[in-house]
Amino acid sequence: MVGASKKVARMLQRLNPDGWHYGGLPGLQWEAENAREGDRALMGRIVDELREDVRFEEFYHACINCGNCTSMCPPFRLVDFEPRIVVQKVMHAKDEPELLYQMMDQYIWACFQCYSCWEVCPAHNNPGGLVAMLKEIAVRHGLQSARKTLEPYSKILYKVMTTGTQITPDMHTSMALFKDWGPHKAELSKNIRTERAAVPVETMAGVMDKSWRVDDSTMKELMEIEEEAGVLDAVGGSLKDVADMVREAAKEME
Amino acid sequence: MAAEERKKEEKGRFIAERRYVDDQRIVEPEKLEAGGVDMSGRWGTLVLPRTIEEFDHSLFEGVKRLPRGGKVGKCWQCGNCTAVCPVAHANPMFNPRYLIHIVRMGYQAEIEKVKDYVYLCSGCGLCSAACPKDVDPQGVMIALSIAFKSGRAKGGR
Amino acid sequence: MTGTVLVVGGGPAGLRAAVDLADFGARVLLVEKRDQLGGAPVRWKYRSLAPDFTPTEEVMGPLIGFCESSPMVEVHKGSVVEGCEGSVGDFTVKVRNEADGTTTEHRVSSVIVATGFEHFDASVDPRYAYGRAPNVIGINELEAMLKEGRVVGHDGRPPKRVAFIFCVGSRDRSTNPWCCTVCCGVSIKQAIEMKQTLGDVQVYMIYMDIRTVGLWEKLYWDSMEKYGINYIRGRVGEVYYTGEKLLVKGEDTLVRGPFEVLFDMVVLAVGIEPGPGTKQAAGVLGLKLNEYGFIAPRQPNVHVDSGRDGIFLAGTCIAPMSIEETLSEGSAAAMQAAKVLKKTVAV
Repeated sequence: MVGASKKVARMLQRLNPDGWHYGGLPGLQWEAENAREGDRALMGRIVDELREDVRFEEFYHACINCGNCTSMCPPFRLVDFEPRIVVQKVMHAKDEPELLYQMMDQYIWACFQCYSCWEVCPAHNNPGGLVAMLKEIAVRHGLQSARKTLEPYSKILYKVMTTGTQITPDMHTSMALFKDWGPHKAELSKNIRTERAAVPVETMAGVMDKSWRVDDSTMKELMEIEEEAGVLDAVGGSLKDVADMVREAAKEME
Repeated sequence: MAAEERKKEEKGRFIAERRYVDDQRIVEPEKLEAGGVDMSGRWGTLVLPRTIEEFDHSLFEGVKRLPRGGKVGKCWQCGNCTAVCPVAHANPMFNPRYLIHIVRMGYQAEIEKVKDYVYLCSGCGLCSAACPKDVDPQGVMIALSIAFKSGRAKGGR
Repeated sequence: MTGTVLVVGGGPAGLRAAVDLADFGARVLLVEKRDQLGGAPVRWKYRSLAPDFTPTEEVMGPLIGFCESSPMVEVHKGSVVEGCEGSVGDFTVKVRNEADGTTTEHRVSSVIVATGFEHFDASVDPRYAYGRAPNVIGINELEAMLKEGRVVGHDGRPPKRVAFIFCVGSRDRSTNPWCCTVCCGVSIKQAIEMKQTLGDVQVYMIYMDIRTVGLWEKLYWDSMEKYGINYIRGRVGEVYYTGEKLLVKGEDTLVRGPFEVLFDMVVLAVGIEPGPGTKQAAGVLGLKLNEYGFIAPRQPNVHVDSGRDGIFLAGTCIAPMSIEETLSEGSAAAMQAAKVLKKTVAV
């Protein structure tokens, strides 16, 4: 199988040099991509872990390939990602674990768990939930794709630990971190102090003080979750400083 | 050339599922300014939607009028033709069933992607023998190559 | 001992049973909940019946005419069966007239239950915008339009582009998990009739599987080969009214392509589900319902046998089925009632 895929991969390289992503024909592309040698034992473990998960029974029944999930999927509009394919590959995971494994690299990270698919599935499958389970497995095994995707998230984790869950226009200017809020936020933050003074005190209660501080117990809990889930280990390699900082903060707490 | 290659590779490199996005659909403006604030870099990256917004049957009607394409309307997408096709077996980019469907529904972007592969048809006729609806896929492939060549694939309408 | 048979339901199965029994020489008590005989085909004004475009009148007319005029058939319209006591050969049933509230008692030898079905109410499923957006109609409503020969949108203009969405309220755990068996064929029949009526119209069938069983397959082939109707494999997630047209969101699973296309009219192939009449009759007669709400026969392969001696089943109160099957089930149930009559009274 792997040998054949290599051949297909080379062929694709030769035939499709103009970079168009080959979206039309289901199945083919993964096999081609799968030319990379994978650890067969790991693939088997991943399938077992997925099927033994307590959520599996509820999230997966059987797929009749109707495409209802995909029709509601927001990433599907932009990326060649389909919840239908996810369920299909989960369905055939026992026979073709390499396709499931292949999917965990890049593919499933297009999903952001809006669960529109779950809402509409006539068989009550939950593709979004299955993706969430796969992502967890990817993190647990420290797969390369998980590391890469979690990099930005680890920064958010750091932000939560240091400045709480709130983000306000003040931070926009002081830290210049949140460009994606759009340029009008800079405009907003110009006179923010004056404008705030006009807002009744009780409305602002908690915004400026409590939510900027994170309770020690919350920090500890977050820390434990991160450690248990393997996120810290996963990003440790690429974002060493962030991981170290978080670890130090944890030590200080103790 | 090398610089161009590198640029192509770097395009949209922040996208986690980069491999599943068409290069052509990623828009990265060199300089983007919005409301006086510099938004260049990854913040300005756009991915254009790949949604099909129109069914266009003009190319399909043209194929139907060609001598060997007359029976294309009978196709019900069972995939028997692709299953027996020796070319499709060796090169999955050539897929008679798929070609017929995208031409029927007029999916222009998809046609642009794969239209050149239609010339890979060796004309062995196995598909025409296997077709349960008597579509004559081999003839349809010939008709398609003529239709694509005569420029009817582009613009269509 | 009595020579009368009670038939509950005046649709195709009930009428067929009544006609056969009356021909056989038995007296028939025909109880129909509505004020008109003929069941769903007459109530929803079906233009023609699949697969051969037979006009509904041609099939239903003779049956209704016979029952209305025959001295052997006593028709109670606007009535329901309210009580049933006794056993095979000698039941005592109460029939209440809904209009004036009067109740009459009758002695019957056996009972045939043919309470039929209801079309699925698509407003239950919010994704199709049925009842909220104009020009989203069910196949039942399209039949009446086709019968009038005037297929138009809410603005009075004929549609240029129509989508049929299959399996609405069928094969879905959220609504009804069964396949209604006929709406593929009926939708295709209607698509062909629409092409014949309007001429200049593009019809798109958005299907999950085409289940034109048996000889109905000809409809499917003809629609594609003679009428150029387009088929898209996928299931629709949302119908959205833009204020002018209907935006249908779905996936073409044959190309893995998302489509969001504007249509002038969306026709929902609404499925078959058991109606309130079936539940009521089953309650009165002491019959078991299955998990879906249809009446459960003693043995799933023998539809006529209700599990209670002297009570027989026919038609879509047991399972979704086509009209030809319904008619023959009416005859089959009539045969069972005749057997009971032969044993108890000499006819």
